[in-house]
Amino acid sequence: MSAGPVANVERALSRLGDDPFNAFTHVAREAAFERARRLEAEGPQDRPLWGRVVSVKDNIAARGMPMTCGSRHLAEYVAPYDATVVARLLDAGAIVIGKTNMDEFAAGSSGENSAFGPTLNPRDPTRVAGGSSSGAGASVASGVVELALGSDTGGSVRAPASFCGVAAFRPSHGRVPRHGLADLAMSLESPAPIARTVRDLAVLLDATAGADPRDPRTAGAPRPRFAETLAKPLEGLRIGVPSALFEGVAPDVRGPVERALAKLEAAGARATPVDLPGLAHALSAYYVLNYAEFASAMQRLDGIRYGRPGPVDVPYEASAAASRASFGPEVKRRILLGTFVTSREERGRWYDSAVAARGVIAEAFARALADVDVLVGPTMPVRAFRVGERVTDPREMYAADALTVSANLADVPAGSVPVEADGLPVGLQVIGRRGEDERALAAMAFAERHAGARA
Amino acid sequence: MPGFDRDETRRIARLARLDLDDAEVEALARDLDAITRAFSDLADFAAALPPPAPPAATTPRDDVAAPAPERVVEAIHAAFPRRDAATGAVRAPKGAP
Repeated sequence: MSAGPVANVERALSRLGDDPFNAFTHVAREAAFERARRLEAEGPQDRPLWGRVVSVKDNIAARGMPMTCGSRHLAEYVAPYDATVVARLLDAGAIVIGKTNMDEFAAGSSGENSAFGPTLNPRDPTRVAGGSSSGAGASVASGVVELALGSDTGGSVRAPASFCGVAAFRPSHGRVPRHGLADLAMSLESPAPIARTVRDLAVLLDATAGADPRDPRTAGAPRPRFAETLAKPLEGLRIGVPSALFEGVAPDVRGPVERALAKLEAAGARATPVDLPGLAHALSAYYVLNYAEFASAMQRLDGIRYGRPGPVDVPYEASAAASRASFGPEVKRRILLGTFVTSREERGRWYDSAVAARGVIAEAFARALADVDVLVGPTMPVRAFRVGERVTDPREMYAADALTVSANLADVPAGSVPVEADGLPVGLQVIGRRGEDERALAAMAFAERHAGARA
Repeated sequence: MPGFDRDETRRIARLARLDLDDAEVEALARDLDAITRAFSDLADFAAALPPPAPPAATTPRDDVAAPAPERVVEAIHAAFPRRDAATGAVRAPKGAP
C-alpha cells in the first residue's frame, strides 16, 4: 500500500467488500477518504505512516467513531476524544479506516463473544480468528490493512496472530500509553500492534510508544527505537526453551515450532532448556486476577456513567441491574466470579493466592531470562479451531490461553510470528526481558527471517 | 470446597448488580462450580509458598506539621518543570476530558 493515501483507502475498501469475515464494527469510509485527500494535498512531510491505512480495535477511543467494546451495552457510545495511541498514529500520518470487532469487553479468546457476531478466520472461514482482538487479526490477514492496533490482556493479539498467520507484539507495561484504552483489567492489558511483518510492528511501536503525561505508568519510558534496533545485525542470540511451554501442545503445533527452533539454531542462535517453575498455576492465577479487575472495572457500566440506561423510576441498584442485563454470558460469568473472588469471605483463598502466584511466576521469568535473551515456544497450544467448537465449556476456552497469559502476569514483552507449517497457520511465541522490548522484537525479526512462514 | 449452587449464584449476582433469570442462574451456577473446582489448586499452591517478609519496622514521626524533605521537593519540581514565576507553585499538565 504505497500508491498514495487515496489509492490506499480505495484498495482497503475494495478488499473489505461487504466484510465477509465480520472483522469490523464500524467502517469510516467518508472520513477515511476525506483524511486521505488532505494528506495527499499536504504531502508526506517526514511522517513515517503517511497515507498508510490502520484499523483500530473497538475498545480504543477514536474521536467521532463508535466505541462499542463489542457490546450492545455501548452500541450508542461515540468516543469524544482520541486515545493517545490513536492521536500518535494520526500525527504520524496514518488513516484510521474503522473499528474492529472483538470479544465483548475483551472477555474471550476466540472472537466468538462479540455482540455483533463472531469474527471468521480469513485463512479458513469455518474457524475462529482468535481473540479478543479478532477483527484486528482478520483485518490484517485478509489484506484490508497492513497495520492494526489491538490490545493484549492475556494473549489478545498473539492468539489472533497465531490463528490468522500474522505477527503481533505485546509490549511491557508502561512502554505504550493506555490512555483511551477501555480499562478492563488494568494490571494486565496494554495497547498492542498486529501487522503482516515484524518490520511493520516496529513502525507502529515507534509511532505509538513513549511517555505520556496522561498515563503515569509511562513515566520515564525511553524513546522507542524499534526500527533502529531491527536495522542492526543480531548476533549470538541466546534462546531459552522452557519445557513448560510445550506441555499439552497439539502435535501439529509442536512439530512446526520444533522445526522452527532447529532453523534458528542453524542460523546461529544458541538454544538451551530453561525451567519456569510455577507455570502450571499461571492460567488459574491469571483468570482469578482478570475476574477481579474486570468486575471492578465493569462497575461503571451501570447505565448512568456508561452504557445503555436502565429505568429511571426505580432505586439505583435495580436500574443498574436492568441496564446490565444486555451483557453476554461470558461477561456475566466474569463479573460474578470477580465479585466472588474478592468478597470478604473468599478473598484470601482466591485473590490473595493469585497475587502470590503471580509473584512466583514473575520471579521464574526473571530467573529464566537471566542467562538468555528470549524464551521461545508455541504461541497457542492448538491451531485455529472451528467456530462453536469450544463455546459450551468456558474451561476449554480458557485452556487456549495457557501459553500466553504468563507473559502478562510477569509483565514481559511477548510476540508471535508465523512459522512454516502446512495448512492452518502456527505461531512461534518470543518472550523477552521486562523493558527490553526492542531486543525481543529483534529476536522476532530473526525468527521471521530464518523460520518464518512465506505468505 | 463447597459447590457453587443456585442460591450462591443468586447471592453473588445481587452483589454484582446483575439481573439473572432462572435459566441463567442454572447455567451460570454450573459454569461457576466447574471453574472454581478447576482452579481450586491455586490456594494450596499459594499456601505452600514461604511467607512474605514482614514489612520493615518503622517509627512514626511526631504528629506535627513540618516542611517536606528537600529530596521530595526536588523530585516534585523535576516531575513538573513548569512553575509559576510569582508563587513558585508547580503547574500540572491538563488532564484527559
